[in-house]
Amino acid sequence: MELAIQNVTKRYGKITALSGLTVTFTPGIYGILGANGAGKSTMMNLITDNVKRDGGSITFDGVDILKLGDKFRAQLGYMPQQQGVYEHMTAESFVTYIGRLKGLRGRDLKREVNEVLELTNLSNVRHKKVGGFSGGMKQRVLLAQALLGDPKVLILDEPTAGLDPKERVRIRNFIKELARDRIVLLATHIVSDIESIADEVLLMKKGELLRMAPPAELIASIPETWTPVAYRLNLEDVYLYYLGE
Amino acid sequence: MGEWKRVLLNPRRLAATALIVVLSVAFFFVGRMEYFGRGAITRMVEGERYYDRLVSRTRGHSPEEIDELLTAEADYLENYITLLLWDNDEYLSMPRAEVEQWAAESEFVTSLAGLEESLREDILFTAQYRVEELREELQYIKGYEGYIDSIQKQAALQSQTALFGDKNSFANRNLLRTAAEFETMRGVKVEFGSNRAVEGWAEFELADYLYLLLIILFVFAFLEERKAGLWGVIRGTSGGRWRLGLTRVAILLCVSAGGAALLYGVNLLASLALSGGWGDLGRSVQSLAVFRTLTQHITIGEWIAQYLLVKAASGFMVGLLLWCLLGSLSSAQFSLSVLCVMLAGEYALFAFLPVQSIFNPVKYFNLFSYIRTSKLYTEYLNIDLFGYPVGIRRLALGALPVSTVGFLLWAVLTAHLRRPEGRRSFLQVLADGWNKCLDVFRRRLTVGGWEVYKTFIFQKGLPVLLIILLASGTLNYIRFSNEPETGDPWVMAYLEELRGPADDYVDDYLVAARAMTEGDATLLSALDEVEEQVETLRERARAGGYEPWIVGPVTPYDCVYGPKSLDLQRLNAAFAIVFIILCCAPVCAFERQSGVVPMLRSLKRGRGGVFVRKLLTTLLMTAMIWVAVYGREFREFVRIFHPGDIAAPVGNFSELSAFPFPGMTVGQFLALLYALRYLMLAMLAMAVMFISGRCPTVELAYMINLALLGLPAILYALGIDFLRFLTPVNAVSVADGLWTLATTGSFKQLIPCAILLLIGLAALALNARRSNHPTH
Repeated sequence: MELAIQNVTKRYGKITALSGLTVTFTPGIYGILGANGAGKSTMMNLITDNVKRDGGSITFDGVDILKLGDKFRAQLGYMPQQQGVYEHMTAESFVTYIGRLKGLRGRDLKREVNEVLELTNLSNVRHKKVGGFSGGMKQRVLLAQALLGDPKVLILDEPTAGLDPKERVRIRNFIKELARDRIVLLATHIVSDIESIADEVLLMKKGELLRMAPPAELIASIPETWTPVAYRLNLEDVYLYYLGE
Repeated sequence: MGEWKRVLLNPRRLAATALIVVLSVAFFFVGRMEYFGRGAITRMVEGERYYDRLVSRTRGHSPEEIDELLTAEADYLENYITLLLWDNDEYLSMPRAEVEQWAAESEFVTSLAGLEESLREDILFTAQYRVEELREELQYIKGYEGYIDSIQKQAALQSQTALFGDKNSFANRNLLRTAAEFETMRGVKVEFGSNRAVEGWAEFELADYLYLLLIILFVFAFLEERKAGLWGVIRGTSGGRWRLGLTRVAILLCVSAGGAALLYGVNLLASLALSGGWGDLGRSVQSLAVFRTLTQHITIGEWIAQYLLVKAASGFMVGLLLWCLLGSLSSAQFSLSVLCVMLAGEYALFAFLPVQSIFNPVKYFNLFSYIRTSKLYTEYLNIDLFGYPVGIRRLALGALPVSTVGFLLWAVLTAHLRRPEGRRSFLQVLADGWNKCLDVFRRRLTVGGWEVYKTFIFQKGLPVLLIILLASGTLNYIRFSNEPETGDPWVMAYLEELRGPADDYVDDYLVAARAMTEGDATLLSALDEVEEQVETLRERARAGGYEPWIVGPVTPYDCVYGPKSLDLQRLNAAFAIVFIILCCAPVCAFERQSGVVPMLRSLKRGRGGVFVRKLLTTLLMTAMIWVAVYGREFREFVRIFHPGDIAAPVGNFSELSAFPFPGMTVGQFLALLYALRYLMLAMLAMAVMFISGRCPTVELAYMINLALLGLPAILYALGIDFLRFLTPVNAVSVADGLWTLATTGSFKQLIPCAILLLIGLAALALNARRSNHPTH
């Protein structure tokens, strides 16, 4: 299984959001780091075909995702950054509805809905309207819907934003478990989330991919003289070293 | 000052207030029109001017002299209209010269000289209605003293019966009280004058409901911080408790007073400006027939002032009550549901509880008594309060200050004492239980089922459709003909007998009929004419290649689908357009407003799958509107239509013989008309979907669609003719185009349908494309 982005460019008017991005994903967790406007969300939107690319190609197992259309989307789980939900629906009905749109039905749908609600710790509020949820709870609802249908490619845009530490660890561990036979793309500002679970980290800046390597390799790439105080360097230092202005 | 500014100067609330006032004025004037379409406004204005002039001519005259004047005016108008329409002395009830002389001297008739003939005739018909109204008013004036006498006599008579005889009973006390109160009205001077402006204003119900809407709009402004999650923050500030409560009470008072002045004052001034009557406000209020039962010594002008004050006070009290109730809820999300349940309950008691019920105090001491305040003045009724009769007006108005003070204290104390957190909401528990039950059902919904559910429940499609169903019940479809039936009655009778295919049976019938005439010249001549007509029919049918058929007159079709009812067809089409907007505008905008579009688009069936279901749901709603508007029309048509004609080819109607497909039966013709109408409504729905799909919020989708499509449609239907190029009214109506095609063979009037079809198909294609492809 391989998701390949080849020389992809995207412009919004005069602003270049992505410039000749080339990267290949195989099963594993990919943490995407970058400041606002680095092109993280644009890359995710291109993979989900929510924006039109201006050049290049995105292929899944060698076939362009635009040609695959529904077949590719059937393999996709997407959790957008924006907390868009049907506020009038209950958590259960929202997840069930998305399950239907993913092509699930009957017992499979019921079982999967129960599983993802359990997993995201929403079972006790399943009959409450999503509109009355806190930001963190909405985040979990969105994560729940992304997990439905056993997706082979999971795109998570800020999945742990707004969650309490306990929930974050829970979700993080779950994502780690999921990634055995899946491609998981995880964009976040919370660097520690990536550090412990990501197989590789993509550092993006102004629409370009600066580096892509395992966290340990990135940390090792920072010169020891970079920090005047001696301490064990971590991924936050990588972020500041490569992406800090 | 901050709270005043936040509440009163919020742009959306200001816009909504302006819209409410505009709607009130617009519907008030629409209610005054007897006719819609081209020249409707001129017809209304001229009719009102005629009324004003006629009333002026009656000033200083005795009722008998006024009676004579009105009778003469009615006769002259009748004869003049007859002359104008049919130019036949036989139909006149006075010498032609006299009628012509009257017309030449009449200021009203001469003022119409520059107008189109059809419009002039319409205005003359309106003038006839106005004269009739004045004659009825005169009868009322003459009979008022007699009415007072009859109440006294009835009281004296009834008090002798066993039912009313017991002096300790409510019935007896009520009888005596009624007689005593009306006795005080003896000697009240009821005078003939201009009543139309004030009566029309007092009876305009919609203003009451719009006033309630305005009050609700501002009450909801007081609950905004709860929905925004700012209640705790506001309550934590130094002025966020009782001081804020008092400020809001003051704001509500201003809104109630200002709203009453705006909604009622503007309509009253406009009504007086239109119909006249400024100088007649000093008469006793009983001079207006609607106030026949009012037992209060007061002039019309004083009543207006009192009424406006009562309205403002009632609005304030109702606002306080709603604020108290909604403010007492722990969870703001239930505000709208609780409000709807409460208003529905109160209205049910107000409207449906029988007057005789022992619970009738709750019918009159009711929220809607303070909303439909004019009823307190136009209905005389004493209710049983512990065996004593109490007038409904006295009860409601007496309780007004007490309730106001009570609710005011409740509101301020709630603002001061109520804590935002830490309460278990009973409604939340109920809602959770309800949602649990609903989830059992919703689990089984398919994608299509979900789309219908979202549209009807989340996007409020169901209540909107119910309102549409009620509103469409007020639409009119038939313009009955004023023309007298012409032609030989024997010929008409024979043709009626022979209605059906013009086959051998007709020939046999005619032979038999001839044999039965016994040489009667009238009958023979009639049969000759029938034979001639049948022969013409057969020749035409032979040439057109269809079956000859003896059909009835074209009048029923003309009255519903033809030029006679053109104004109604346009108005109904305009309403259908507005209904489509109300139902279909949220369909695409809802997803954008919810922010779920990127997520949906990443799903297997989230693009074409969702779009197709949205399309089907839209077509389903279109079908419901089609049935609500045009199903009723067909039902009305069936009432006046001869079912025997349904299989007759259209070409047999001489008026419709230019139809390019003369062999098409009447049934097929009607099916085509209604199918085209559905198609046009569906195309319009596609355009509405296209616009709403580009709007980020449902609110904006409504506003843009109403501004672009709804408002021009209504204005055109009401008579602003140049808008015909900017609105799809004629396309949706279809009847005008098909009728013209059938009568002249010209497709010209069907061009709007073709344009709408193209627009609809283009919108559909663009919507489909957008659903499958990213836009950026």
